[in-house]
Amino acid sequence: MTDVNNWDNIEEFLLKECYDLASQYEKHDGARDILREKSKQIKIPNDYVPVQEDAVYRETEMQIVTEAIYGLTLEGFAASDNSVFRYAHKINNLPSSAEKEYILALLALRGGTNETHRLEALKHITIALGYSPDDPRYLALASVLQNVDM
Amino acid sequence: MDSKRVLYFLDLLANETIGHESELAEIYKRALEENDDVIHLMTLLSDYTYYKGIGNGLYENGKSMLDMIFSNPTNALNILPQLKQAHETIDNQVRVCDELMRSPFPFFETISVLKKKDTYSYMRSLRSIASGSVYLMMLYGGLGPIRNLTWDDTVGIQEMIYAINTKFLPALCSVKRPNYSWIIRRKKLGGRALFGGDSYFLNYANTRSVEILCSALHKEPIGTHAFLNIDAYETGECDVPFCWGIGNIISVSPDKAIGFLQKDVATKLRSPKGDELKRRVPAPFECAKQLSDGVKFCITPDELVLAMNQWQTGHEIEVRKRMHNCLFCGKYVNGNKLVCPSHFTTELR
Repeated sequence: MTDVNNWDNIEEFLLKECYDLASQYEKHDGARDILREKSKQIKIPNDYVPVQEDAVYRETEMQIVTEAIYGLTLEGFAASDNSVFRYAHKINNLPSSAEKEYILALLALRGGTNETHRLEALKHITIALGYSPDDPRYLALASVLQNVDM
Repeated sequence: MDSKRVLYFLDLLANETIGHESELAEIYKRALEENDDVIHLMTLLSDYTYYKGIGNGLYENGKSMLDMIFSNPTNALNILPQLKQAHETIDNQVRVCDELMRSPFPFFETISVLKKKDTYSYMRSLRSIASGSVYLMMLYGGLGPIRNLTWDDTVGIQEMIYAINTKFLPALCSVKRPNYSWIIRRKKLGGRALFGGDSYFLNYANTRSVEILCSALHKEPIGTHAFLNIDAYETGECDVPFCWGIGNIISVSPDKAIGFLQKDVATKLRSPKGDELKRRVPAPFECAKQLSDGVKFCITPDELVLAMNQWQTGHEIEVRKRMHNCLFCGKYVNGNKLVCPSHFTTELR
């Protein structure tokens, strides 16, 4: 095991993992022995985890969204803020989705809670509900925004 | 006594005897049946299954050797070397095929002969490999890598060997294994995120560092490659790893994964409904199971955290509505209002 980035090692790692998993769940003795023998023939050091050079890590939508929500939480519930939100760029670059619209609604209210912001937030949460009509968070926020003057 | 010597003396006896053909034939038959090479060849022909051109050729050659020696016993000593060569050729082929069947790597050589009593074990192991590889492909790559794969339990072993070596294992080896593990933490929600209560936050981190971080936690497996922090689940403790793992979350164990081929599999979960929101969010796997309505699922950690947040926040909203607490700050609000009036100002008021 000289080169941990060698493709063959990753291939062998996947094969060994497959035989180990298969033997773990196989109930027939003969078949289990065959699977164990296959696994045993692949020599990989204990706790060896290969790294694929081309298996690139990319931030996922929910990672960005939950980070943004945490960012909003940390800002506290103070007066409206016109400063640029730390995650605004990442949020804007997300493809259109319910969660993106939900965050955009929260960001609209971050800028203030007057009528303009409320309507902007309502617009976004309505789009979010179009994607995911039963999400209890969107339903509650839409209800709050619609009933402000009642 | 060595059956070759017996045959030699029988030849001498036959040459010096007139008549008694049937008695001599019977003694020859018994001598041949006690010959080690004949016994070995007969065992190979009866206990092994022969496949394809090479296998059938070996079988036919062995069978013709036995026919020849039994129909011409007085010439047995001349036929025996050829017969021995026939069983040695089969022995050699048995060894090669057995090694191939136990090799961990995909192969393209022909399997021509296998022991009958091992065939079932081989077929079971091939099915397990197919199922295990489907599981790992879904775990690391979702449904894409398994889209064109099929498996038929009713086909013969040759078709299974072909499918494993040319489709399942190559597909498994071409899957990109994530370099990073996911980790979900429970944190307090509030401030400009508006809703109060707890929420789940998704993060990705180096697999090794996640293992070290979570090694001392009291955990329970979620499938094969993910874990739930039991203490955090039971106590609602925040800011610690709540659950973590690598790859997707799959609704079945590796031995059942083959059932995902050519079937409808959920990759998205529905939102929790009113009755469900009266209960606290269940453990992650149970949450996914309930929100998939019993359909097989293969979901990303993104989809899991989304469902958990819908349920967690939805439940908090239900509780606050019932208690007349503001959905944002938790203070008591009069009437049917959902939030304190102070959170909003409007020019229309």
